Amino acid sequence: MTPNVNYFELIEDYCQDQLDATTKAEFEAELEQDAKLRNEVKLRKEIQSAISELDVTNLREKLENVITQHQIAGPLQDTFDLFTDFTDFQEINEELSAEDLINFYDSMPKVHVYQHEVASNETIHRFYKEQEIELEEDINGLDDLEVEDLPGLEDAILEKDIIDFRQTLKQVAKSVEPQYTVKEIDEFLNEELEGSELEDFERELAQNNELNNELLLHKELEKSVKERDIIDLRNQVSQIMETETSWKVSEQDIEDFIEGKLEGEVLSDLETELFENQDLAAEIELRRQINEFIGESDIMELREELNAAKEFSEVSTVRKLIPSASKRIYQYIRTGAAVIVIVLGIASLLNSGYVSHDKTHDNFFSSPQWAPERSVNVDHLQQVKLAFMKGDHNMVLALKEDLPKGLQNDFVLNFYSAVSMHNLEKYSDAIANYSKVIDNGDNMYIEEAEWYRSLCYVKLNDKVKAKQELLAIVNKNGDYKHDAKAVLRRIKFSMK
Amino acid sequence: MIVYSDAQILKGILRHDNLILQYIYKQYYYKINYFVKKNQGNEEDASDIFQEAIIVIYRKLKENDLIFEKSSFAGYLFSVCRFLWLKQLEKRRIERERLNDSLPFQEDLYDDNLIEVIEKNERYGLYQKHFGTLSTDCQKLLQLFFEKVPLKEIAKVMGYKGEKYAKTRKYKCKELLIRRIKQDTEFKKILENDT
Repeated sequence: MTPNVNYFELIEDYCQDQLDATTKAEFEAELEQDAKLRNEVKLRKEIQSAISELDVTNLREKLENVITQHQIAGPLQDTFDLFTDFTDFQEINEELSAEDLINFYDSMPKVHVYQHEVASNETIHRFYKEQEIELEEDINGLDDLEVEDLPGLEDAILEKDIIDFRQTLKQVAKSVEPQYTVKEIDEFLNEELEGSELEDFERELAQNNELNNELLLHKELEKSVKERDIIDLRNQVSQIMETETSWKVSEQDIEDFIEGKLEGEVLSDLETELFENQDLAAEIELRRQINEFIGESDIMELREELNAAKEFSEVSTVRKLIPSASKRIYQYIRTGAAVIVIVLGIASLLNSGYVSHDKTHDNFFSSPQWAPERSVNVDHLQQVKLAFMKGDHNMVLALKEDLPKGLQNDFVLNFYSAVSMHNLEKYSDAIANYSKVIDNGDNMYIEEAEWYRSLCYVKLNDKVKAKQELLAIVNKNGDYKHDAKAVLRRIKFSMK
Repeated sequence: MIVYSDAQILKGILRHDNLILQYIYKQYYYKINYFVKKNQGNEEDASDIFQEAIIVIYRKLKENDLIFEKSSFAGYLFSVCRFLWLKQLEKRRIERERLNDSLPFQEDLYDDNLIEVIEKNERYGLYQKHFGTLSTDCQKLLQLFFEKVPLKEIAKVMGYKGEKYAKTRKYKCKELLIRRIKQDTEFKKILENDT
């Protein structure tokens, strides 16, 4: 494709629109017939255009300056590293005519034109893509620069159009509904689609992977919902894990271990399990503490003495009310006076409200202290414990709500949240929670829960249930027996 | 304490026998709990892993695809638990290299079928979890539909005014369920693993 030297001047003039009308017409006629000439003219125009791209060259130079000022190294450097291969070329300082340029067939302008045609835009965008993060961070610093001197620089850096377009595309993707609705997919699965609708669906199904996945999801969903046995088994295992102890050694072995009586293979088995089983370790610790508590014989004795003294005083009071036959007349007078005094006393107590339901409840209800050693799941209860100890009962209830469902049924939690409800005067809710603790059947809070529940019934003026509960406590002969008797005596007067 | 043979345990799992399930829990859970906690998990993770391992074994039993030739029930349970926990660690982008292997597992039990069952169990478990979050009304309605109970019957059982309403309500319930599943990050992770 060697150019015809005779045409050079003509081509030059033609490209610069300097031919007179006749010559121009002749040249254009020639141009139509001669493909080579056409190519030459085209090449010449492109070279002109490339050389005249001063704005691009300027922009690149100024960008270099900006980057140097901001001392951005790394990826930016890589982009300009592309030019390092050209350092071996000697710089042309003198001005070249177009003719000289054409003579250099593989000259730089031609390379530029080629590159420009192929990927000029991509090169620019790629550059900014690499720099996107750094430029976003440094964007404020640009205010200080003379941005107005760099036409298009701000837009180019911000690439607002591209960012906006990307955003729009995201929105479009979000807003586009799936091609087929749940209803249509269901109809297809239930063989309710017919005719063209069915054909369309099947055609789409053959090509559309997403629709295939959707269909698979529907099918699997149906199968999974029908797996009642699996759902039941999962619930059953979950319940066992909530209610059962997670150690394999027997209670007797644990007791023997604490007392140091365990030996041989059983001992080594227990020790092996103890190494890995934190629940077992907690259980052993709990039992040790209980033993220590029981071992405090001085405190136990003192308690017994106090109870005995209390019982004695109650018996004496009753005895004094029963007259002996030998001193009948004299004692009739005394008894009569005593009865009058007692009746007057009771009447005044009733008037003063001392034995009203509220007072009875208030006199006997005292919020228990937090006793974490009675709980195995101490970690989970830490926050609730703190709130309870601070007396922040609303917080106790709020924290309980936030705990996982499995933990919410924990009897320790139920007990203390019931106490919190009790303190907040939510008696019905408290009863429900105390009942959960009692229904659990195997914990150290049952006796207390029964006692406090009975007080809730008293507060709610539910005579029948309060009486039943209190009688049951008395019959159990536990720690609250005497208190329960006292409450029963009081409500006998007040609950008519 | 009574000691059950492997055959008795497997039969017990198939029958959902409470005593056998309690036995498994008491015998083996603490080891799984210890392993999970030693490997960046917590109590809840250990419970989930144990529970799902039992379900995986049940699925294998239902498919009549569980014979212990080289292993025992305990070995199989530990291997399944270990595999399940490794999957979890992978999902949480936690390196496996520093694994504290306290469970006596057997690598050769990890056949293709086991992995398939575990993956199916993972998907189905997720669907079932979200199904459980639907209103009881929706749950009942979908179950009746999936059991192919006639529309008329469903409308009657559910107390709806007509078949058309029952059908519309069913679509709404199913749509809600599918939306919840798709929004679940676990589901997205499952899809990522599949591709």
